[in-house]
Amino acid sequence: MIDWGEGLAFMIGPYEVGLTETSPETVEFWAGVARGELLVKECRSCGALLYPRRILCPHCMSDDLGWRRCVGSGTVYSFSTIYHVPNDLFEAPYTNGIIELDEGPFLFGRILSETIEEIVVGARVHVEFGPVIEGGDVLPQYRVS
Amino acid sequence: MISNAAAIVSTGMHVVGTDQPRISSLELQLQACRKAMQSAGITRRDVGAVFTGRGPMSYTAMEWNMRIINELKIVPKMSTEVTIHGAGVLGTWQYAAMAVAAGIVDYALCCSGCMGTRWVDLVKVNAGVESDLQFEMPYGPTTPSLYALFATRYMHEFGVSSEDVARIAVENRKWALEHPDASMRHKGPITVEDVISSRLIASPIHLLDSSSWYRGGGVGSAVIITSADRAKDTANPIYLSGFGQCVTHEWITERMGLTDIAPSRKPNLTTTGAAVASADAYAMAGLRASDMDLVETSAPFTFLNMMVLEDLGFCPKGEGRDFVGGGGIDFDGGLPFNTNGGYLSFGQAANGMHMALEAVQQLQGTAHGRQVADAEHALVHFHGGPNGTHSVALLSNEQGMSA
Repeated sequence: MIDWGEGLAFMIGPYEVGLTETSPETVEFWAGVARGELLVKECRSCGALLYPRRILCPHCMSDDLGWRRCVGSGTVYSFSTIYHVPNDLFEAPYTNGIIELDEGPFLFGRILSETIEEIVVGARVHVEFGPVIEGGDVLPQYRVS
Repeated sequence: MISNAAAIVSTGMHVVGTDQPRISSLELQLQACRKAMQSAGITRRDVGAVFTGRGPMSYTAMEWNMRIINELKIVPKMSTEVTIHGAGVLGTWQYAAMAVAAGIVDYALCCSGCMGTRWVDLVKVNAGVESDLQFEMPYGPTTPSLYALFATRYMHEFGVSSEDVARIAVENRKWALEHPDASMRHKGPITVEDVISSRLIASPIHLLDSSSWYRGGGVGSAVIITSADRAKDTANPIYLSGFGQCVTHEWITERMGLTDIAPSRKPNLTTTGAAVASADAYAMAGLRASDMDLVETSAPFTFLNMMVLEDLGFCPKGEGRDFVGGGGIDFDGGLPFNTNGGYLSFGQAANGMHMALEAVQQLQGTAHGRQVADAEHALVHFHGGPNGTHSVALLSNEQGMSA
């Protein structure tokens, strides 16, 4: 697993010119994924449930954010089945989409189903954890239920 | 009053096609800058501001504007890369207008352009700047597949079909057939059936729903902007009557976390910042959508052209299907729309300024072979990111100013 708390070296040829994605604020999300738990941020000041990246609550500007475990159920807000792949790590077709979690926040992810036709706007999904490419990191994915 | 306080007094464009040797993106832009500066009759000592679009995909180090300055040996008092993706290119004109109108500088140089496909595999690298490295990129998105999330939801909510949006590709192609440099000119006309039977890239987007990269080459573009006072003695100045910007998100999932603020009172993928940017531009100019004689947009997919037509005020929200279906943007008799063929059929040239130069040419009466008769006002819309940044400029010529 990538340690997002350490960030990734930004390389230009042999030269390291900086760091990108130094995000200690999301480390707990990925620790949750490793345990099979789907977490979102929770504002301890106003109670808003937020995208896992948030450092500040945009509603009340509090910086007192914790984590809330989601039940893992949600609804497909939108999706696209990819036929032209970005690189040879991925094999077409596969479907990515945006899931509205029952708790409120929206997450991007892979949508799994027996047939492509089952994936529609409004379809109910439940989270599963696994890699999307062979030997890849474990990611939250969403199976049509 | 900023409205009509600044004008474009010259343009430069440098086109490189597949059949020509590749040059760097830097040279592509510099050739355009050279043409624009020489055409305006100014030297490097006259240029007080340099604004560029985002750096090309073949040069991803920071601060692209500094490379332009290096080469031209300009010593600007103001300079920046306008980093709101594709909308930043039109943003350069807006900052230039403010700088010259405020009297801080006399002349501003704005430029953009990319030799993209001749140096890098854009399908492979582009999602890297359009998706979240941690929460989206690991799932293997492509740029079209990110835009497709807007398309799926928009078409679902408003009952829009692939046939409905295909008509935009068909009409754009007709304009491209009239432009000597359009990348799809040699392919001839297309039909709705051609579009919907072309292969799916990322559902619901087909190959012919998508922009074409500019002839496997590039287009460099530049303009010189000065104050209306200085412009009035030049031949054929084009005035910036109004402008607006609206930036909603970096990465599509972040857009779904945007609430309680226009254009996203509730999280959605059916509205765009074009509505806010154009409303501000119309208010600044005292003009309406119905005053526009032509419209150019950098929308890179058919469905997005339809969404943008709605958000720019050419028809009510959700009625783009009927507007386009009723001939609203038809080459024959409709609103002149993407008069060089647009991103779909002229070609995309990264965050290319060439769509805005097309509007300038139309208003100057030099769009030979495709000239819109008696054009006085044009709307230019640029976007990027995916669909997270929007920028609008309303342009007028002398006839439009006196009307």
